[in-house]
Amino acid sequence: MSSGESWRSRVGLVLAMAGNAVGLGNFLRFPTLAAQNGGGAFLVPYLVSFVLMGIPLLYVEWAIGRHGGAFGHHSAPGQMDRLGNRAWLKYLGAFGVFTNLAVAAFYVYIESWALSCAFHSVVGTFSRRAPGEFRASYLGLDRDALAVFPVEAAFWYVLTLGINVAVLGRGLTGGIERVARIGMPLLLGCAVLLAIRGLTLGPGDPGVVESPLRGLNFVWEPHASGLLDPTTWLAAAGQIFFTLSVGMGSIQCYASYVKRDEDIALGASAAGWMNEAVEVVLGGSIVIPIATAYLGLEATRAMASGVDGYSLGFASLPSLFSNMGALAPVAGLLWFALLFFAGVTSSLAMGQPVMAFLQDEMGVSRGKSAAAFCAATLLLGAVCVALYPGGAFGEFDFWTGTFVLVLFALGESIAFGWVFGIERGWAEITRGAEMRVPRFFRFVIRWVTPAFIAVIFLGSLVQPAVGWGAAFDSLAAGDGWPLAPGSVLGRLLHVGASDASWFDATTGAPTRVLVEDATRLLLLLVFVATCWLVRIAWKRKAAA
Amino acid sequence: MTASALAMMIATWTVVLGFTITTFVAVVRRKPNESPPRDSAER
Repeated sequence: MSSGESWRSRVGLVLAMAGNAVGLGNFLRFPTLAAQNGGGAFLVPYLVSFVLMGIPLLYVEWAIGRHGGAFGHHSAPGQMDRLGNRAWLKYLGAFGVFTNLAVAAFYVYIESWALSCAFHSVVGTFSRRAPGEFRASYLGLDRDALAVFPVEAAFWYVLTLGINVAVLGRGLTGGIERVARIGMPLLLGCAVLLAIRGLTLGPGDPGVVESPLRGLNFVWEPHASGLLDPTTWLAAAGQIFFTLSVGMGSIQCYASYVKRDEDIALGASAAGWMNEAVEVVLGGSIVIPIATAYLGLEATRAMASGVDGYSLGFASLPSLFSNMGALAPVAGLLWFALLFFAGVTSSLAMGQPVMAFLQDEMGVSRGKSAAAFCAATLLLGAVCVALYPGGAFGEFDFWTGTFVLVLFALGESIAFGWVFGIERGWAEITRGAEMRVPRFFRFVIRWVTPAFIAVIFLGSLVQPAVGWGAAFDSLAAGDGWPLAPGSVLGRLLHVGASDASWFDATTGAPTRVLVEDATRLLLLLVFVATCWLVRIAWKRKAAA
Repeated sequence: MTASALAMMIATWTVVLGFTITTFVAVVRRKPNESPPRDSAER
């Protein structure tokens, strides 16, 4: 049973927590977002969001986790249920199991890309074949179909999932803590080597067309206009969510294995700041500077604004490494090993809450819970792999990796500050703390953080396709609100799609819209099933 | 790099690395907590 376990050391706990937070977003998403949203000016709303929302949420989640862990609950349904005498709390906690399962399904796929690309870097595939072409073929994008069965991609997915499950099956200290203690230093080592090599590329190196420092300048040059743009604030606050892994239920799970009087304020601060250091210092110094050195600033600027971070990291960078000649396989291996370690330390944190729920609340053994997590992830992952060209992966990414995080964080911050109560909540956060937690956070946790998240939630719901000022002008002029295709409502309504029908009017073939809607329905069913399991577990406990 | 970009980068790196090193060193240096591990009786 998971309830007998606890962390072997504080350093192991902080590394595991930081490993949970440090993920692919630190290296792929952050630099492109910063470059797209005002450069250095992005850092102002980013750091403000970190202090007013990120750190308070870390304190809240660590406190919820340790409090629930004292009652033998290592997953969100039980932990949330212990915050007060309200039946809905445990169903709010169901998000903390559902999200981890659904995110793991597509996240393991990204991790498997890193593993396969590390292999292909070493065997020299990228010197014979353009990485972009390899990637299209690997994912099945070169076939004119919505559903595919990419054999190689499926093989690496199963292998990566197997590695995750094998580690999870070894338990908290023997598996997760050990991997974090090895993986985090390796990750940092790979990142430092790549950043140093990237920033020292000079005119004498083959293929270099521009100084990488111009790329660094591109990331950091502050454009004051970005500070006044609500879109920049939304992007910065959203990035804080992704990067810290808050709103998932994984932090609460790890914190539930902390001893009763452990200093959680210091642990939360150390893990949070370590994630920021990896993201701001290392994440900003690799992708954009290297791309600038080999492609030039204008091409990098166009690339950063037109593609997502995944394409940048998996298709563009390997082709740039080929300029390094004999060092290309080493650079490729370092880069993809870095991404793999960043990914695996995060995906382990997704498996543990699901397994803990099955063990604590359903009475399942560790081995069986690992097998159940493996089977469920494989089933959902098969949808992501097979329907990748149809858009299922993107739906998983948005709804479970973005939307639900904000929803759950909003719910838990209200539950903690208002249902559990700020008096008890503050006592829980500061119990055992040698570090003096500024009392200003007490006010922030109760008022500012929920309001901040609510604004982000509403903003992402109706984010306009044009600037906010122009959108209000359009509304005042009676022309309606121009919803952005990427906003929550825009996605729900398929804004921007040329045809929102499920079947093609002429051929009768299924369309991308059908795949997207079917994926949403599947995710909804998985959430309902999670709530149903929570209901069964509580009924069984009540009857016992 | 321009002076403003360099200043922004150095200021941010200083804040982030300062907090990271301070908090992590505090975690490493702290003596092991002497409170006994939780057991079922405590619950």
